[in-house]
Amino acid sequence: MSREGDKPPHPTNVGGLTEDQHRKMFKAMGECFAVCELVRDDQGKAVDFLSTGVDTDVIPIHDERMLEACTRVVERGEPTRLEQYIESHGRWLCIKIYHVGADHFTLIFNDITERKRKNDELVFQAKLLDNVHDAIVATDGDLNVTYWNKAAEAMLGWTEAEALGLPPQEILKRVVSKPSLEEALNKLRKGKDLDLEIALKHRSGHTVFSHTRTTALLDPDGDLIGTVSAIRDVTEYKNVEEALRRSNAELQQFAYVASHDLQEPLRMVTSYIGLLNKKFGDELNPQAKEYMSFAVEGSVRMKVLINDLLTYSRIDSRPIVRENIDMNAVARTVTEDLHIAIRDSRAEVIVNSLPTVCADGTQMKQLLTNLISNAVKFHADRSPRVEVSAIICDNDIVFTVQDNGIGIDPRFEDKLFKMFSRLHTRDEYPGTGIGLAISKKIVERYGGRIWFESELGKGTTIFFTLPAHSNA
Amino acid sequence: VQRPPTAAKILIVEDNEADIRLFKINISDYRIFNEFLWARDGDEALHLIREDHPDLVLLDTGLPGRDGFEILEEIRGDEGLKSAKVIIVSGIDDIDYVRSRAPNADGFLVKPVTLADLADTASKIEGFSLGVVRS
Repeated sequence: MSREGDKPPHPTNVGGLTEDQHRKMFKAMGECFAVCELVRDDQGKAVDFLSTGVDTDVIPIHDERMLEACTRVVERGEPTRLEQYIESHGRWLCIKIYHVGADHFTLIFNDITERKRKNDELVFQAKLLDNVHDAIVATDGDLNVTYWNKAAEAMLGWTEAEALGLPPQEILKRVVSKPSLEEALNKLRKGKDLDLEIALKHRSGHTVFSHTRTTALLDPDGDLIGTVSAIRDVTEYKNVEEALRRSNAELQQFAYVASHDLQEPLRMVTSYIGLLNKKFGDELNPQAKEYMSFAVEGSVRMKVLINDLLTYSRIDSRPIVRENIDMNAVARTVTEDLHIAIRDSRAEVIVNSLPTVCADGTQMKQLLTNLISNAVKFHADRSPRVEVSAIICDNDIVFTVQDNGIGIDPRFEDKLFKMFSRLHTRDEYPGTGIGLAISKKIVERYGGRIWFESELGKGTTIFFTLPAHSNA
Repeated sequence: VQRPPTAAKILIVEDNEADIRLFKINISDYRIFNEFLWARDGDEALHLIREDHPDLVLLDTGLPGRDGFEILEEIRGDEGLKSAKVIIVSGIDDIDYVRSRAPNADGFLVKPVTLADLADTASKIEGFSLGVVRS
């Protein structure tokens, strides 16, 4: 562009403002206003433009593109607008050009660098958000969708354009987790972030289970003006969980039904063996009598096993009860119930001060009965000494049942808590081997752990943890 | 011996031959004035209750087709049958479970049923008497 030639003189003080004041004004306002006029050559072709208000140097853009735009405005009389990056300033400007009359026009420059930068950020964020696996959904304060990323489209079937017009109930099916939707909204209004399990409705109607993290957007007055949610599709996980739950329930049902239905034929066997014995016992020779006693013994053992299986399967069929249980009282009842076994084996059972736990009293009794009776039963030649203690460890209580019995062979430690696993012959120590399996199931039901330490010939300590009582 | 006019008529609903035999053996030591009726499934049982009006029904739980619990519900839901006195008889040695399945029963017995158990349970049913004499 040629800036050679005669420049018409221009006033240096227009509108009462000096050039310097103009510069300052532009700097302060991020805006510049100039009244300009086209400069034409001999053929009447526009070759330049001049500011009639300020020095042209103040006008940040003065190039071919500007000249073309200005010429077009003058020729057509219609205003125009362009955006341009000014390398020397490192700024983006928006220029609006209005025709004033003849070859005169006005230029209004706006610094839009901030807006451009924000826009770039938004584009960057949008690209980022469109590439994450989680659905990202923003809403206004009434939960109408205002933003909807690609993952949301894939997850729920609606395109962003469709989703923007959807009322929230089209998408939200129900909030599965507590709190309810109402409570959730109340929390959001207080500016709290939420983790929710929400069942969402896919465009095709099926349910999408989600884990949703929602953040509230509040205005300076504290009013809810929007929400932003990251939504993770957990339908598959949920389905697996449901299948597992069903399979567990079926297994539970199976064990219960099996143990019930097994009683029926067993009772038949027992009844008729009893009848045989009663009616023909006197006629039997010693060998036949021995065979008969084996059959009776077998059926008695089977009855015990079935009852144990029933007991085991019932642990989980009881609803989880959490009441404050004084374990001292439980231990007292248990030692009273076991007094014959304790007396016969001349055992000393010491119960130290025990805390209160938050659990099911019946199952706590079952647990202590199993552990204390084991400790008394598996005694060595010396007279058995059993000590029950507890210490509080953070939020848990660690109980110990310590004995000076025969100890556990480390080779068999894996088997200890398994159902119907026995480490000794029935002649040595009677029992079906269900006690510790039941104990484990009870402890784990309350989120506790059970383990042991033992030295063969010296004794065993069983440890288990339970949650401390609720007022702790 | 003439049956006293007050002795009740008892319907036994049981499909298992071994159980029927066992019950007969258990009561064979006694002279019983009661009349026994036998049914092997729900249809037979409902028919006999309707026709013969037994004073007491011993209803097994494990029957073919409809089980005893379902038959009891049918009896209680039928205007013509609902007043029948029904004792649920079960091989399940878990009386709480059986009771929970048959809340409308008049009594419960666990197999094998002895006459003493039957007399005891039946005696708790209002207006019913079992005519038994040890032979």
